[in-house]
Amino acid sequence: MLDTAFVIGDPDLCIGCRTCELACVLAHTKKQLGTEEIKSVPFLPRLSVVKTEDISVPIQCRQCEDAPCAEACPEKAIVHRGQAIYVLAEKCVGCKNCLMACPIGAVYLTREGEGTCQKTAYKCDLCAEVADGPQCVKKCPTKALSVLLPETIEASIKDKRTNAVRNA
Amino acid sequence: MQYTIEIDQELCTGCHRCTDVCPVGAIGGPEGMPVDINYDKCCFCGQCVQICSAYQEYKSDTSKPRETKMQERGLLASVKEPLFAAHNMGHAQQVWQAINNPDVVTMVQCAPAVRVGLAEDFGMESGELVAGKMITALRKLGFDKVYDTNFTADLTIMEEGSELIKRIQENGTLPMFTSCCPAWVKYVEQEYFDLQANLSTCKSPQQMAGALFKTYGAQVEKVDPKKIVSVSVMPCTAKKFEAARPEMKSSGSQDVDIVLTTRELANLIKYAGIDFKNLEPSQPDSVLGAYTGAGHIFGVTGGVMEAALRTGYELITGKALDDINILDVRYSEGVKRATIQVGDLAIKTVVVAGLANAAPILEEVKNGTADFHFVEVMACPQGCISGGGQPKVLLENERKAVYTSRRDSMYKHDEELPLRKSHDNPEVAKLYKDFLGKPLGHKSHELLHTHYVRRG
Amino acid sequence: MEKLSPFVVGDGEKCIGCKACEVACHVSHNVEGITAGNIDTPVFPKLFVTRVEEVTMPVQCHHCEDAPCAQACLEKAIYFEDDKVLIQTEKCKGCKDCLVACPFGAVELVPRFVKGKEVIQENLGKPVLYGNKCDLCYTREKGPICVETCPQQALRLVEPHKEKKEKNKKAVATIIGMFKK
Repeated sequence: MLDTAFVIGDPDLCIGCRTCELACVLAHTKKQLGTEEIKSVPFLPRLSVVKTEDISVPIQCRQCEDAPCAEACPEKAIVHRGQAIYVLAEKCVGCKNCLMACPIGAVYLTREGEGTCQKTAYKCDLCAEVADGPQCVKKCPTKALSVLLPETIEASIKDKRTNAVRNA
Repeated sequence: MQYTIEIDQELCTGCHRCTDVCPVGAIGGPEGMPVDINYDKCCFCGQCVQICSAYQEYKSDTSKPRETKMQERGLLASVKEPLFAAHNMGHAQQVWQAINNPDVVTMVQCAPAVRVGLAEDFGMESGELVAGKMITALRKLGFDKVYDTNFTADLTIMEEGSELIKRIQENGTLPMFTSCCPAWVKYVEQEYFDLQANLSTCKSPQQMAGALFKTYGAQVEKVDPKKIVSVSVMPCTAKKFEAARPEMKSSGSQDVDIVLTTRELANLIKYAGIDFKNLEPSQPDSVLGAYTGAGHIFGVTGGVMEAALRTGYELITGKALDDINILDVRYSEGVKRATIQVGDLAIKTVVVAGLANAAPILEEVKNGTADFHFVEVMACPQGCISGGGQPKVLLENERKAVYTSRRDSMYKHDEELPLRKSHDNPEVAKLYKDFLGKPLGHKSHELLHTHYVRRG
Repeated sequence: MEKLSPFVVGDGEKCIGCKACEVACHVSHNVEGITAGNIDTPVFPKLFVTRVEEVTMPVQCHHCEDAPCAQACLEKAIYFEDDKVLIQTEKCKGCKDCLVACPFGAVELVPRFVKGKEVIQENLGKPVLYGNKCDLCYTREKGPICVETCPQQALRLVEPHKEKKEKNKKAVATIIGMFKK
């Protein structure tokens, strides 16, 4: 029944180092650390490490099944693609409806490239164009991030139900 | 049938802000649907007219054309302001016809609060006093006689003050209620008719003036009362209802023929192309035009009470007041009680601002716990200055400040006037001497007092 | 985080459809004087109270980051000033491209009035129209008058970067819940 996967951070493991943010930027700009060209790249990660008084954790798109951002988009620029909810930047007019609709603040807008477009929506796309999947998950030094696949969640629900009956 | 106040079903969005300000719960309906007025309850105070912001959109295709609506509402063709859902019927066209009819004699009166509101519809400062310009404008419009409701407000004090003293001295029905607010009077008639004897029998200043225009006025001007068209300009929408009451015919015909609101007068002045801002001030006509500060403050909550006390104090004690400004009865925000020492008498007063606040006081009277002598009730939140016929404040955030400036302007004018006590009004004295005889006398009874009818 | 253009949004849960925001908008932009008698033209608001079945809500310009209206404008009459999308109405030729481009119907063409009189084009004999839309009351010190006027507090000025940060913070609380053992 579920169609989308998402990345989630565990606040107990997160140390707030922002490696995930860096990994995100490198993955989406296809740049390498230590190169000259990386210096001119704006730092626009698609997940944000949020720190409160006691904890830190990255916040990123949950790829909601009913994606309110997609429903709110007047241009139909947010679509379901693969296991993610995906922004078609070329269709985006920058109206910010998605930003308003998102319950967790996972969408923001930025200028990308030098086209006529000013600022368009961007958000976690599960590294759709990266060969080995979400780089934030790969690079986190404390393994605080993980991908939750739809089938994993469905399986875990069943397990939990079985346990619930056994423990009753 | 046309009522004084109506809600345009095509324009109402069902927001229910009028329901919230209606002091008598007369407006209702399902949420989001156009609301209805229950005319058995409606007192025509016009607070709904003041609050309504549901206007007719430009070239709306979901409602009748603006021109049609303007006609249905009795508006002059020159009116440019938006049409809102809650509105009162207009009568400026009839007035225009009358002032342009050479066969009739037009006599006009303006209520106190009109002169602190009128300027606003001409882009002038809120509360700016334009008493003199207003009189000049009425003359320019072509009224044959420009009298003043402020004059009959003074006269009301003579009658009502005497009535109160009489009730106290002769163990009459107490507490006495003021009777100058027509919305309040209708409310007592329909909700508390058992207490109708508590209402002063005095007519309102509007109706006293109307009765005098077609009797004393006709006599002085040597005109046939049948030829007189009696017009009033009021800050009030309920005054239209009051003037149309069948018993208001002491002169033989309807004492007040046409009632305009302050807004309608502004429209009429614009229609006639009069440059209001630049008019030279002038004075109302004698013999029904002179007024004192006491008559003028009728237009603000506590004003009738203060005016009555100014006169009552001197009539009873024979002494002048130490301070003519009786602050204890001013600035009521709902219910304000005071005890005023008048000689040996401790007069207990209640000033009610806003009709929604009247019921608890009436209950006290009904169940016998009331210890007060005199109750003033004004249906509108700050008295007539905030009346349903006053220029409509566009921004809710500004309403309070606008009403405050109108109120301050009322008291300022009172302080500037050479005479500030109703019994000092020379034309009132002359009226009693030449025509009425004495307060509560036979002729007064005939022309200036009324009775009440059970409603509902 | 780069700042984005602020914009006004309505809350359909709170809005009662009274149109006080529309009246205030028109008054603030066009009317001198405080009472209805000073309005000498039809009311042309820059936001539009719209009812859809049971819900009523004002619709207004989002000051889109990529403003399609501005891009569509033949005369470059629609432009960015700092973070606001504005219309220089004298330049407008009434071409309607902005109306077509706007995803919200937030731009309208309205007749020009001067001193209470509609301006009529000599040859065509029809009124001069120009584009009209929310300008965030940029000349007004206290900001958008609609927000201030709404009796239900159903309108607010959104500052996107703050909005995002606040939502992120709230999200943290839910994540803690998810990982509670």
